[in-house]
Amino acid sequence: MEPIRSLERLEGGGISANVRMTDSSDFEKTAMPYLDNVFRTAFVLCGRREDAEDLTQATFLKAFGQFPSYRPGTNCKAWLMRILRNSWIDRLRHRKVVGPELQVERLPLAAPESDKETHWTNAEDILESFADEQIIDALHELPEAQRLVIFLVDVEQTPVDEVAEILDIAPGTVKSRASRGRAKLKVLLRSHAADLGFDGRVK
Amino acid sequence: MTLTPEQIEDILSGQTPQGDNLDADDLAALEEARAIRSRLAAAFESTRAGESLADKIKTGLQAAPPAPRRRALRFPMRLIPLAAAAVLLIAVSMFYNVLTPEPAQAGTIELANIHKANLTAPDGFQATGDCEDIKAYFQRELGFTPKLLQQCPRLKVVGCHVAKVQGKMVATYVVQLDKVQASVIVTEDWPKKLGLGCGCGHPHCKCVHNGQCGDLSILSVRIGDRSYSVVGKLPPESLQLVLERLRG
Repeated sequence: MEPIRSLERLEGGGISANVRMTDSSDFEKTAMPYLDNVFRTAFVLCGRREDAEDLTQATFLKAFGQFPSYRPGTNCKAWLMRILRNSWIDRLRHRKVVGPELQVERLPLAAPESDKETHWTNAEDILESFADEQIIDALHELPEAQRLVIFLVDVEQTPVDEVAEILDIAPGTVKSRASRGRAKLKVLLRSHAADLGFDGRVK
Repeated sequence: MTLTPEQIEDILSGQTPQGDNLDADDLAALEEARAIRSRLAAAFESTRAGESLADKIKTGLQAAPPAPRRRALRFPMRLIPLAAAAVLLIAVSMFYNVLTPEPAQAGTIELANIHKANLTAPDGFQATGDCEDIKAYFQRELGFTPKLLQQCPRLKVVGCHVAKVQGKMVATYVVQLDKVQASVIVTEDWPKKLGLGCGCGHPHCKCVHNGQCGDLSILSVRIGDRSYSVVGKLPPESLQLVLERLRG
């Protein structure tokens, strides 16, 4: 049982209620196991490790403030992801007001040579030829809406319904964004794969 | 290729079994999507928060003021008469509210916001006037097909979407009435629950209900097991035309 650290009187009602304060150990035990997941998602949103660290920190502090509204036993990861998304939106709004930050120059992957859809006959081998950084950079080239869905569905393996709830969109939209995002990612990687000597089978 | 992108997603997520009757293109698409998924997951394996970030957060948490958590109330017996009076007061005020609905309640504002969002063609908005496409979209997204209005030269459907009203997913479609666009929003909730009023005081009547939110007029009527609300910057007489077309 947690210690009661203070008693307060609810304003206006005149009926006394015990209010106990949540100390950080309870929160840490519940939320900190998801630190890596939140950080990775923040990294996908921000694109820079330092920004992702800031956003993750802000998310956890905000979550701590909202911890009394968290219902124990419910999906803590999804709860944190929603707070992360809202913190990110707040940040974007703030940036709109104060102006954009300087973007880090990123070495782009070569532009796709063709829009024709192909299926890689040996997709696994081709993808193995890319470095992790190239895969992550290609993901960062996608529009944010697709990028986040692809990340949550493919990397975090979050169920479609849960992603829909986190992003406040319909499940059908999650599926179409995931499908379009993956197709676009493939187009981005395709030209590099061709440079490496892998061919696609034209549909 | 026989599978739609959506069906591919369902198979990938394990919601639908793969089945044996897939053609070579389907199998190739699935194999490729699986390969991209697993390569992406592998690429992020080494992306971790690091000890220093964990320490920074823990320090921040200890410095932050503790979050208050409310415990269950222990109700003092001497306050029972006061509580009974409060319950009576609430009951009377609820009865009064049923008789005289507020002009702009939360539901009304949500309807107005959905219409405003529809006009900006938000992400996921289906810009189509094809009734079959629209029916298929709603069936896929919500598992039901709302009543679509009978189109006429003055009135045609131009797109559809899904939205949330009072926490529930609802169907909405946009109609072009002369040069102005209005939204039809289909909810399970009765018009009165959405904050719309009518002459009679019955909470479940089939009268035409109306309301206003800013410069937007709202008319709503119960057809079958759902309420159809029309929202637009139009006089109620024009919105009435949409309702008449809906009622057939």
